[in-house]
Amino acid sequence: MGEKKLSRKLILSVAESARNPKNRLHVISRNGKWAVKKEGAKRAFGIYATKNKAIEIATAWVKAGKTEDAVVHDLYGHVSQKIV
Amino acid sequence: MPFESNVFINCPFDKFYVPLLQPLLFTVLYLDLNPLVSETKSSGQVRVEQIKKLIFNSKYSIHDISRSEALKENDLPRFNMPFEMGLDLGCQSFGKKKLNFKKSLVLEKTRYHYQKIISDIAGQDIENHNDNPEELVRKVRNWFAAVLNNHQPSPTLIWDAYNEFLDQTNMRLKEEAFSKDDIESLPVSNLILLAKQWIASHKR
Repeated sequence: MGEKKLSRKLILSVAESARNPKNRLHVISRNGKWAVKKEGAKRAFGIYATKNKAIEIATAWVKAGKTEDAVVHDLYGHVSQKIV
Repeated sequence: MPFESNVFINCPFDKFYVPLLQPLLFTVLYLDLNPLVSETKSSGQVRVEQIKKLIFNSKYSIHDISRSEALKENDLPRFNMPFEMGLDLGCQSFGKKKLNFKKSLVLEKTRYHYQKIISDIAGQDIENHNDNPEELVRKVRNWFAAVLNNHQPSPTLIWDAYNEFLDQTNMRLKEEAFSKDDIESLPVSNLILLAKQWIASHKR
């Protein structure tokens, strides 16, 4: 069975997304704790003991209009929740 | 890609291992190395020849033997990974010139589990990942930092980048009408191509 070939448009748009980070926060697992970081930033701006606390902080940022939205990643890196 | 940059990846390619396979490939690519995989389902003779070629052309190898056990009761354990690891270690021992400089990392699920199933590999570089992708990224990055003996991005930086890569790439795939099933079963070659492009732009 042949593989589905990826379009050039898709490949370029994936590269483009890495070049131009969104105004988005990511809640990411961090060695038993949870980090909140801006997309494209090198470091997290906060590390929290629980996922709920990290989500609370990210939600507050979204509500205050400091960021467009936020996404919460699961332990495998996939997005499990979006905060708008 | 040259021998010095190639990394032979010896692991399962089924859906149960994808949550570990993807961050493993991403980490190798992030370190500017080139993962070589043998995903193709072909006849035994052809497949083993392909694997021998990949091993011969790779300075580095990562063998994940965490699935060398029955997945459920009455299942048989899987021997492909230990078999390919044996081929690689044999190549290192009996090969000439550059092959003597090959290096391997063995990954297992829990610490010292290998002693119960394949104790002859004692003395190799063996790390456990606990089926945790973040842990796997850290162990793989730290091993390469040691064997390459140069500065490498931190495990945290790579893990964070992997999380952002998944978010951004899956969004783009959905825009191109890839379903959830399509994304979850994305061929390894597709994933490698997208990750390479994303990492190249991300590092600029």
